[in-house]
Amino acid sequence: MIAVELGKLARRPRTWLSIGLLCALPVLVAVFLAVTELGPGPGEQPAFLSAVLSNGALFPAAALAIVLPIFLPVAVAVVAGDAVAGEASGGTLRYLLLRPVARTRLLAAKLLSLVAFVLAGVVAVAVTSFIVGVALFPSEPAAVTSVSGVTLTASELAARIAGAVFYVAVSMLGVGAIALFLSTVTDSPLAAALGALAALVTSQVLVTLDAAGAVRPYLPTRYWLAWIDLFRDPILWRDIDRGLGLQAVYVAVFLAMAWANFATKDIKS
Amino acid sequence: MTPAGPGIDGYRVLTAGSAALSDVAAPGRRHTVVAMGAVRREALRRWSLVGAGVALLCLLPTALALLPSRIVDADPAGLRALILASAVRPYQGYAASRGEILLPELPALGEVTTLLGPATRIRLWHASPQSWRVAVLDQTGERDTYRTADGTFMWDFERNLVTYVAGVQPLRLPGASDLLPPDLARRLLGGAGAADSLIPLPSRRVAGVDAAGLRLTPTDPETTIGRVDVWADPATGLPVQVEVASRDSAATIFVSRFLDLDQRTPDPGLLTPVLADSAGFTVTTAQDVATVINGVVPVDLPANLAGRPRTANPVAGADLGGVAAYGTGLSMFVVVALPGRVGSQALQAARDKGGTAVTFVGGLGYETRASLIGGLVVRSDGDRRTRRTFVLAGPVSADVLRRAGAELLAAGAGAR
Repeated sequence: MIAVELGKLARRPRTWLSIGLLCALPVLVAVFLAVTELGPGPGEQPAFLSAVLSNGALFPAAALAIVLPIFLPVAVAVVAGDAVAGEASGGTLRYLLLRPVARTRLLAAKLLSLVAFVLAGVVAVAVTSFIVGVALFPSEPAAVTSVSGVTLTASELAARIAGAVFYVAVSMLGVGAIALFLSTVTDSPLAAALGALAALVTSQVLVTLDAAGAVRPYLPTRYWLAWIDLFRDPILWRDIDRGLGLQAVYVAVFLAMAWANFATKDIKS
Repeated sequence: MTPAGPGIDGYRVLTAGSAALSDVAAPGRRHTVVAMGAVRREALRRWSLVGAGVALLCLLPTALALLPSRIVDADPAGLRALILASAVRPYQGYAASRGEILLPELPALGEVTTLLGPATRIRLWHASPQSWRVAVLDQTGERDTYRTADGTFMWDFERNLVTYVAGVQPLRLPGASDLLPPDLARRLLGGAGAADSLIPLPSRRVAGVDAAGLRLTPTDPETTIGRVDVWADPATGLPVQVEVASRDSAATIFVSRFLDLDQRTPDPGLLTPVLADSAGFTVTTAQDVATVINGVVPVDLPANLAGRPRTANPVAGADLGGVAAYGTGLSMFVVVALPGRVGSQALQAARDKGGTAVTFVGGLGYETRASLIGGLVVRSDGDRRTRRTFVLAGPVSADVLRRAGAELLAAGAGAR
């Protein structure tokens, strides 16, 4: 069943269109940056972008910072929202369940194909941005300056970018799980995706609000930027650990809710 | 007939869809009712399981927070002495400060405005007062300060710049290290007078330490500080949390606390700046820092202001022209003389940020009040070459700063 779901994901043009758009945005930013040589000022987002002007090998980190706040979660919410609701709205869910396949297994297969999409998207962003960064900016992959000022070797840089890719991918699973749950609630993929994005926007607003300090550590977007700590020396693991743990909780809770709802749902289409 | 889907183990035929259900159960309505009841029971069971799990997860942080910490009793005077003697203790960790001291962004204040603002994350490695490193973290970079036997190195990622300061700075603006619990607590408790009240506070667990607490309540009517609460490790005296409240409100205005703490000597490799070759590098001497970084003009400042004597120079022989501290303890304030254009910018910033206009004989000024720290920018009358601008700031009442400002203008502090 997993292979079937992965095959469906790979055959859908919109999968590759989403990944292509994700990769295109950092490329566009890189072109503007290379032409104008105008980086963001101190304290301005996205992170690492000003450092790219002196070493393009760091552009994968800047690219992750560019796509993380909006484009990546939107893509994940759309794919996850479509997972079950898309089958229902297309009238194929009923027939899919005839194979016979257990609903829990179907849900697990949908989640795994979502994980595959997220990983493919983030890895594609990292790889294309490295190529673009090296091509457009002066680059020295063997001597990249870390956030703490220490020089990173090529292998250290590769390990830290791999860690950042993994962390960003895991960070997207919370949104994906919310969208997957909503996808079992409604037959409209759009409604499921918008619902997940509404949860995301709410979280991002509350994270910046001092009055919401009591709930801030439990918001799904609270530790999204903790991957930047991978580029400090020594690496600061505190928020990274908390971010991974929090995403695991969100995935577990919303997957359990999806399971409880979907397994006993009256399938009408 | 449309067969039903395999929804729940054991209910495969009857539960997948209303169409399938009605098809299968058509021969007898009783079967439909039994099947629907089973589905509802199964749904209830599953949602109950999920609800219980979610409730458990939600209650877990509260339950952990309510775990009782070991009660630590400590004599406040003894604890204060232990804290003041803790400067030589090594430690490393991660700390956070949060303040509501919203200072206007005046040119002379450097990064003080942001450090006293909503939230600051700091990593620190402290081997001794002469060997330490502090890193201020944010979402787009990091600013490190290394204190070594050779001087002070400052690294700014976003500027890709290393600044080397040779020698010891005789007077400087507060930095991140000054706002960490150990330094802040020692500075505040060290400034306490004999008449100030010192009482014990209930112990609390901070960064894994069962810390003993004390409260300092200043009696000086001129200070804006209402209370200082400090929690420290009763074994080593290392402060782990500091809270400061103003005299006007019982609410805490500034908090600095450790989130992670390890009281072992840090790896020496972390205290030595090994900075990238590609970074820019500037060198300055300690003498230059006050004038270059803080934008100070050398002038002779009075020996007394507002009835408070000028504080002795912390580094013998160093020339602090244009910068001075007045008073003692928790009602100390600083005066900085600013050069022409920087002075105009400071005056304009104080006005634009809602400062209240104050008229003086021989000049004008704007005062700002940020719950705990009062500020006043005054400028003497005259043309561009003769007029002088001063910034006065400290945890003192507006009246003290106004008197000091008036005396400054009357004294006519002039350039050397």
